[in-house]
Amino acid sequence: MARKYKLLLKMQLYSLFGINRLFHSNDKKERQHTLIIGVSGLAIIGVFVYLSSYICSTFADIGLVQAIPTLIIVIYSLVVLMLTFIKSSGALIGLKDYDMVMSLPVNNAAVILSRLTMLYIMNLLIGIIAMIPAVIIYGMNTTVSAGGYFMLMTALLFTPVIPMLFALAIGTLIVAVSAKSKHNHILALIISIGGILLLVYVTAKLQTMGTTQITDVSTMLINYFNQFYPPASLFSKALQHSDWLSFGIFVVSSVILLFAFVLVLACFYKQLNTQVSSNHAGKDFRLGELSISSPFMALYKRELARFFSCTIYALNSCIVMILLFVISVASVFYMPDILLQQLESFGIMDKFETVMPLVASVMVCVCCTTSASLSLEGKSRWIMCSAPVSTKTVFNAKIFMNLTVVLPVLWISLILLRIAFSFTVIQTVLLFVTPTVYALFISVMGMLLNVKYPRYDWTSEYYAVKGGAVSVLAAIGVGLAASAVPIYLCVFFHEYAQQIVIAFTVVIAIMTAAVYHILSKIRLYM
Amino acid sequence: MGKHILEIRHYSKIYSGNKKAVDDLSLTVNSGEIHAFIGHNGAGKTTTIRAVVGVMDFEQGQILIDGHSVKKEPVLCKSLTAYIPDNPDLYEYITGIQYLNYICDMFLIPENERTSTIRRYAELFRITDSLGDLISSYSHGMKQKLALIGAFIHRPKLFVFDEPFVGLDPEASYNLKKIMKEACQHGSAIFFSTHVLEVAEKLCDTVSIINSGKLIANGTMEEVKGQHSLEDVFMEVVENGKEI
Repeated sequence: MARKYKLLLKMQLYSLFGINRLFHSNDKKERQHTLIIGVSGLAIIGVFVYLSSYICSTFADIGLVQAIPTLIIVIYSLVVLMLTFIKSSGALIGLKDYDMVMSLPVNNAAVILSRLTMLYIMNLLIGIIAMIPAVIIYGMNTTVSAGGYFMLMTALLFTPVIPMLFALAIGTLIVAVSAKSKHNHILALIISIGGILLLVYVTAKLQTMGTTQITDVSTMLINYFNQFYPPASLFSKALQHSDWLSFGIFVVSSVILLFAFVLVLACFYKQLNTQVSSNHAGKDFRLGELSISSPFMALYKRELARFFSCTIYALNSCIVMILLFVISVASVFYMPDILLQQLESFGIMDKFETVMPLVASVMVCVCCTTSASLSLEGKSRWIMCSAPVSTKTVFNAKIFMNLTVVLPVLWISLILLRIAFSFTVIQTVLLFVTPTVYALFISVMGMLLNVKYPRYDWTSEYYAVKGGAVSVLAAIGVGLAASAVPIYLCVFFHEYAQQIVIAFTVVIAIMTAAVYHILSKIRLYM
Repeated sequence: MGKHILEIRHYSKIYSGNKKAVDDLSLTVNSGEIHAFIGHNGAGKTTTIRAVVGVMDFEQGQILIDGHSVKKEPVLCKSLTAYIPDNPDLYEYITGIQYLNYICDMFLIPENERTSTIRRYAELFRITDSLGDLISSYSHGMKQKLALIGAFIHRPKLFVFDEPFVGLDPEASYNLKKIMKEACQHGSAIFFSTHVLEVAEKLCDTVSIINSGKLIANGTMEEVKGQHSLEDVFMEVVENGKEI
């Protein structure tokens, strides 16, 4: 089994971060693509490193150094949990290459273990990079023995195992239960949005608390995790009291759980995959009258179907708009008077209201379905390319899809913000016009970037939407640059804030028209 | 002789690295004709087909569909053409009926026609019961049948198929041949690639053979094969590079 496991894993590793493609491709574009992904990846790692260092420094500053090990384990586990959950669909059950792999002379356990190892390696790389700074800060703020460092480093190797298995177990369960439902993606989307909003709520609550309250809440959370997540408690105990038995239990329990998971899943692997692959066998369809649509509407309806069929695509595109909506609702109903008074007393209320259109624009610019919409056509793009419609109509449908996601939520949120704050007439006009112009801009810009950097050869939708999709990263970069730069300008030249907002709105509107003109000249080929 | 539905004039395709995939290819397919386009793997069949249906750009030559240039009037040409690639990857996240309705919307099929046409072909290919299911649950053969229905429902002037019989059961193959002939009787033309030479020999009126990007045989089935089988002729022209 070990030899076959190695062979299966080797095949998996070829796809890791596109390294094999980089070595074997003579295509310059391919190399550029990999380079851009590499740079973007490093930037993301940088953010992780910064966040990890910042959180741990804050804990050290408020005298909670001893809580850092638990914190390391908890954050690392949560990151692994989230990343694995996102990838869990099709990671073990419903593999794209299931038939090919399972027709080979290998046993189920080898297949499962090879897939798990691949996920583990990815989680480990991300986790280690993000958590090493935390370990360093812990070491700098307290005396750690050589044994303690050994424990910390070993823990980083074993920490991802349990959350990874947990996320996969949940993911497998969802696949097994919802395989027959046509609405499983919408259900998954609602659950994911709920989870993220809860996380944001907790974070926001923490930010509004004073240092003493943070200390109390942090202590409470650490105690809570220690109580309900035994690995955190074991590791914390092991490190603080040089308790090698607890450490041994922590390591051994991870390994035992891993093998138990593999053995149990191996027993039901074929049944689960059979259930997933033999679904939707409804034989009660009756052909009736069909609705009629124009080619544009037909394309648009298909874009909608695509949006709701892919959780990661929908989540990526709409979560920030939902956040804007939540913030707007909170501004109307829960805006603390004390915050308003403080804004007034600092004399920044006027600037705050002037800059508000740009703040909303930043959020709009992060939501862009068009930057992945062309890539998502994947192998089916022959239908779009051979359809008797102009390329402009195809682009219009994709642009309209993005505006459907952004504009209704944006306008409702802006109405709420208008109610919450007192704007002048000109501020009110800009509040609606500026983000709307930015929404149009990011829609056409995302489309153009996806035309320039399409990625059709994905094996999972994840890679077209996230996973280093150059067009998506570039659209976010361009959008943030276009919307955040004027905010900084407004801060530095606050007496001209309104003029800056107007000037940027006009410039962005002109750029939108120019980009749309370029798009209308493009022809799509496979 | 019917009207030229497909005209390829001096078409060449050079990929980056100066690899000439197709070299100065010229042929015509007339109204009412079924034309087999045969050649070994990598001969340039799919490269030609993709240029014909407007999904691949080309620099040299001209391709006309019913007298219209694929390069100058791409949308009009596509509205006259039905295309099925060798491996029709369909939208897996929609149902069969949603896909067919989408195609009907794209080709502006009137409301009164679509249900009856879809019903006819779906029953012929025995997939009516599955039309309400997601395409992701279809077998390869069912996807092929759905793609074929999508091609036939809008009654194009030109059908372009890349290996249309792959994955079909014997009954579906039989019915496909029947509706191909029927479409030609109504004035359409069919241009398709195949490796099954027996099918080409029995079904097609005209044939062309491509070898390493060059057209080495072109004409009516009788002209090309004479007294021999198409297989014998194919082997001879490909092995000896002899032109007919």
